[in-house]
Amino acid sequence: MTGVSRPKFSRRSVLGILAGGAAAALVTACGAPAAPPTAVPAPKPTEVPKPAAAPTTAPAAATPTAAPAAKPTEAPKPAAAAPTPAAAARPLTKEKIHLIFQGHVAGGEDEQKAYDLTLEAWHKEHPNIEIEYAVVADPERIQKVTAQVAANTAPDMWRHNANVIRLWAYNGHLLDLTDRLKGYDKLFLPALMQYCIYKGKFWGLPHTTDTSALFYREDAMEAIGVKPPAANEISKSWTFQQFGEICDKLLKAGKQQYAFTHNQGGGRWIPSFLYATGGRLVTADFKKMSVNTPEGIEALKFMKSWTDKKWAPVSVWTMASMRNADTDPFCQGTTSMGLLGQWNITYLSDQIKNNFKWGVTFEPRAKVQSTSLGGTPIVIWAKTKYPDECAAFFEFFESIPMLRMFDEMANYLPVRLDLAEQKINYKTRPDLMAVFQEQVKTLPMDYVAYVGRSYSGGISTIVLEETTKMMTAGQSPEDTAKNIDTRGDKFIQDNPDVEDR
Amino acid sequence: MASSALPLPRRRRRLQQRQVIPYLFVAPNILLFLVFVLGPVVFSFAMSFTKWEALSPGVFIGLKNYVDLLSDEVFLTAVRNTIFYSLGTVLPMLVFSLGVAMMLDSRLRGRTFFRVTTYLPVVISWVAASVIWRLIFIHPYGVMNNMLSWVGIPPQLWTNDPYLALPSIMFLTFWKGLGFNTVIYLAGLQTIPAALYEAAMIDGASGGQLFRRITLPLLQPTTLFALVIGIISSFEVFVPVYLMTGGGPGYASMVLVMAVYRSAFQMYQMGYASAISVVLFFMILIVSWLQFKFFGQEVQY
Repeated sequence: MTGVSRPKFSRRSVLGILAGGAAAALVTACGAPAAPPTAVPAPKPTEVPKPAAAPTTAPAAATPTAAPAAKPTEAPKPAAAAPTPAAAARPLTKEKIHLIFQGHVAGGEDEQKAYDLTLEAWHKEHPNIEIEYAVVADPERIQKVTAQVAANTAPDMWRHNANVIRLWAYNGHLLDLTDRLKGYDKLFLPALMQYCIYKGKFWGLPHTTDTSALFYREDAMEAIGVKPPAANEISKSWTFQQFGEICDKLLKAGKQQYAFTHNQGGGRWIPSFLYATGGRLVTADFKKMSVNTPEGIEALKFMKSWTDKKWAPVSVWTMASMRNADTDPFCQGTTSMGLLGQWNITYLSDQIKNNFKWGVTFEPRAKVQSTSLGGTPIVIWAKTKYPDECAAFFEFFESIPMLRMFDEMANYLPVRLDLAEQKINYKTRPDLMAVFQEQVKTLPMDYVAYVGRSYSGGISTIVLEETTKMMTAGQSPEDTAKNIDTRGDKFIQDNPDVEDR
Repeated sequence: MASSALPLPRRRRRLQQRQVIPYLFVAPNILLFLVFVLGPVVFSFAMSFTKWEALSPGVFIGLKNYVDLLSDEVFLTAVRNTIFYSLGTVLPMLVFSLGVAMMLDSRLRGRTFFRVTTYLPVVISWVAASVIWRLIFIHPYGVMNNMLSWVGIPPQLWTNDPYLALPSIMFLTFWKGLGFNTVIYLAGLQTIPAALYEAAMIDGASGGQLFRRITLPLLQPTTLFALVIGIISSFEVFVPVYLMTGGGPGYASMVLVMAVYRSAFQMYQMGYASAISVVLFFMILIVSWLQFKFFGQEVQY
């Protein structure tokens, strides 16, 4: 979409391109591998990263390769499975073009700045390939791109949802990145890469991942004489019962109106606590729902107590989204704690300022510690006029310096294996991130595999609707579990995963 | 006539031109109607017989979508809620707006000011109004709960309460739609000849008789218009539901258009969503036909 000018080829220009291409191929084939993106020192979060790592018109130079062991602030040595340099040159257009990259801004202002800095660095390297980050509201972004694809006016690239990538690939709307970004599937955390793969090919790349934990006010904890487990004390994380007792104490202390708030709709907590009790959303073969079990009902009973015992404001359960309606009760002192995500840190910091001291500890657990999966992969439209330019941008966007800068500014967890091994100098409250880094390790792999199923988006809606009925309309946990399974089974039967069609 | 002097083929040609030219004038409008109204309606009707995930060609599945609707609790709730919403907003609004219109039609002091303030909510966008009212209703510190606390009533959940969510939206609709119907009634009242009232008063008619025997019957076309427009727009309500409750909690405030949106864009069931649209289309068609049949006879004096 949106090329401002079509490339015009004369006989002379075609010959020129062919000659240039042949020369580039010769240089690539004979020359030593150019410096990989991983060899660039990490920029300070507020600076534009040096674009040296950006792919040039000869993208072999930008492909990750072996690099010396890195200091914590330097680019890392890639993992053993890192791809070898791509052999094929990718001549980028010399025409002035305009590409649209569509997505949302989930965190605070620093996340927007991170996008701005990335594009600034890209435009320095590629002044003729203008990329616009078109911001859309998070709740509407998939609807919008669905309509755009149906109308044949989709953006060139967009931030997608993990649970629909395979469905979109199955329907032929995404560009197959397997050959264009050879070896990139080995660069990322396998759990996150899993949902980008369909029929052995990959159709997107993870860009951010996130998880949740329990934020708390230090003064509220001091008031009830409780010391929350620190980052190295995950084994001491509160059980459901201990968490409940703390909520009761907080309410009794009466400093804040509620014990805690949580992310909107509460949808992400259902799987998190379900897996913590030893339950699961779907059966091991992913064919049927599996919530109506003693473990599933235990998890639902725990959640029902949130509103039954007035631990959390029920207003957060409304399905209509209102930006920051979930975080504001914690910022404004209505709650003592917040089950929130690490992407909320920049916003919390902006809002709380020095009003009170706050920290973070692990999510409550049952039999095991568990957490939820979040994050956003990036994809390219199958019909973009500029697939090579989009792929080159993805190489740039996913390069170590850019990802590091993005994660450091917007408080995201790294998605690249090599970056995950390094110390990330988070700009805002770096002291909190260790808890999230530990928490994300508790992500159940079964749940990750479920998220990749093409039916999981529909199931999420059903789970959320039924759980909201339980939280607000008095539906029992037993009936909730039964309804989720009945409705979910029908949905899976009518909309099987794309691999089963 | 001059044309009768023309030779036969030429006359025929002119006659044909006369028949064609009017169609050319309305052609742009008809074309737009076909492309942007009738086309999508027909397409939607066809889609309702398919299983279509929006991203791929649909597969014909006959009446399965319609059969599934009959046992779909979300859809059935949406039908019930839509009817409740429609009756609960349109009828009270007609009664109240007629009362307000009659007040504004009288020699009320500051009449212009009241007319402006009554109409003001109409010009506010639905999105802005919905966001404002969501904040007014927000639990526990919204304006509404604050006002309730003045008279000792505990804070209510409003949009988070399955029993109050839809009435909260209806309250907004009432507030926003009152001005429109008032203006319609005001225009209707001003078309009733004063001579009819004068004659009736000379005959000794009371105020109540004037209202029952003259005002109400002569406002019948106005009422029909307001009723039809009100019912149709109430069946199509979406924005305040989407923004204030999202159809929740659970699906307590689900209405038909919200159910279409939910099926299409949250569940990726475009064919199923189309089937709901078709049901909605026939519901509106039948209700509008019934209204014209029972209220469509004009009163003449």
